[in-house]
Amino acid sequence: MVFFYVMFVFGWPDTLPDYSARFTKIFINVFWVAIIIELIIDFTESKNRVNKDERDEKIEAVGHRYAYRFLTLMIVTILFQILLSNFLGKSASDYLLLGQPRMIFHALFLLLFSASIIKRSTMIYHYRKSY
Amino acid sequence: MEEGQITNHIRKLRFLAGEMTQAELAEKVGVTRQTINAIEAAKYSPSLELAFKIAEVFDKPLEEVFNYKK
Repeated sequence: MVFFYVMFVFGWPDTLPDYSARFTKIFINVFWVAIIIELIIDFTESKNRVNKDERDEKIEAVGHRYAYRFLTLMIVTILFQILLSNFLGKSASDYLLLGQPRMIFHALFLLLFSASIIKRSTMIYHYRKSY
Repeated sequence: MEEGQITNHIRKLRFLAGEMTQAELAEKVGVTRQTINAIEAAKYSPSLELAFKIAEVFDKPLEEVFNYKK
């Protein structure tokens, strides 16, 4: 996902030959193989094993809580930036980092990505700590 | 509020039940082996429902499996 985002923002480097067709083919192949493997694992494991229980749900809830708090805080910050930008006028966009809609799009994307990382990190921490 | 500690005798009860494995107990009560391991090590306090299920597996009253210390 990050790879495609970086490609979208910066484009393919001119110094490298164009491998986009080959990359697309590899991506699609890997995607299908991953789905098939996941289905097989799900099928074999769901027969006689519990995959998720109350402890997993509690840990996931803690992860969600931290990610949600982070996301809320950052979105409020972005909204504040937009309000400030409108209030101060067009010249403010030269000084504010998120004065332009394009930058807000990138910021939101990075926020979602960061929130996901925070959630996963929190979960790993609590699993290690054995919640 | 002062937090107490919940201790348990699951390890001993597993031994008395013919060295029942954590995986077997986990399967009987419908949780993962890791959760049973965390409960045994007193690192995770189970829900009331799960505590009753564990006690039921060993055919013991709840207070003989779990203890609460202030």
